[in-house]
Amino acid sequence: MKKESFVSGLRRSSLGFLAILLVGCVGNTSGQLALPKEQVQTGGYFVQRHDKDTRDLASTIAKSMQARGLNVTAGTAAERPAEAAYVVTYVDKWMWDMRMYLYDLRIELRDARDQSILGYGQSMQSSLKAMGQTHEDVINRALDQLFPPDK
Amino acid sequence: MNKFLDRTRGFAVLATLVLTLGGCAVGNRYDYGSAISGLPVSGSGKLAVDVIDARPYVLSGDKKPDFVGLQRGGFGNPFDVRTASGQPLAVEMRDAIGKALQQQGFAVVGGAEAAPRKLELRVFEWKTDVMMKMKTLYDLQLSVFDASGALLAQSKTKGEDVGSGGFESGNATNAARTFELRFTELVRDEAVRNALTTAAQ
Repeated sequence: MKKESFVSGLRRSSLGFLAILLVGCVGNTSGQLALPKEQVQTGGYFVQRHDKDTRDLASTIAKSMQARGLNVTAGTAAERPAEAAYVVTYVDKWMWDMRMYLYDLRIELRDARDQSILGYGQSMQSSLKAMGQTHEDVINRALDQLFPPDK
Repeated sequence: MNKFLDRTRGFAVLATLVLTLGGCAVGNRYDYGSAISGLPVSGSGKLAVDVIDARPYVLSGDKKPDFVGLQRGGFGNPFDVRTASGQPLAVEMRDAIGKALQQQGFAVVGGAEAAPRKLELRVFEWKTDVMMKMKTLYDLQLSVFDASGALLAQSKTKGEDVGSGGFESGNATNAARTFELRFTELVRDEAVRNALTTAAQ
């Protein structure tokens, strides 16, 4: 009787441990774009660096967008070129777990004329999921949501 | 003495249980009052703006008008999320819409005031549900009326968005952005834009 209860306890503990491990690996992405497919490649994009960004994610986002064939520049709000049709902004959230890691990145696309929102791409990853990944990986995951391959 | 120890132990167990089950899930608030940064429409005339909360659970009194969704604790146990201001959700949404339209040149007035055009947002559903992910359920209808109350244009959007769930501040930002995206989608409708821009000459 005692042995049975020990085995069942052990089984339950293993399941609990497995659940904790799985939760530790959580990550998800989401996004959408209201811009018609034919307009995506036509306008110029400007990635606007925010004041608290000491890592210059704006430039990395711009490079990743350029790799997708888009016409992109990056800089501070004051450096925005007049011909930019779309403004890209981002919210980056960092967490500490033995090192700083990019926990959540949300990239937003806005119309430069009126600041109305056109779409967003987001990538969230837990500490374990983020292990071994670079900022570029996270940025690309968020951009995949904003500019899916068929757009 | 034993009674005191029993009570203390009971309180400790209860406190641990509340913290374990609730944690960061209790008392969350989201701000919708500044949700909209810009809109794809501009004008200069007088525009009446109204937001009507038609969520069935609010109309029935099951939930208060400041209810905006659920935040789940460690075991999926739900806690209500409310508006940041404590005002009804319709008031915060109306603030956001009014500020954005004013920024676009319109002279925004209250929904009951006389104006050449009236913009009315009817909220049949708006609720976020957060645990590991954040789900937003929505069912919105935007209508533009002329001064006599005749319907000029209408756009609708209904569905659910699933995004990343995180801490309160991040969830609040995502909730506000989702509202901005959905409302902008309604305004971007050509008939709605035409009705609004011709309104306001």
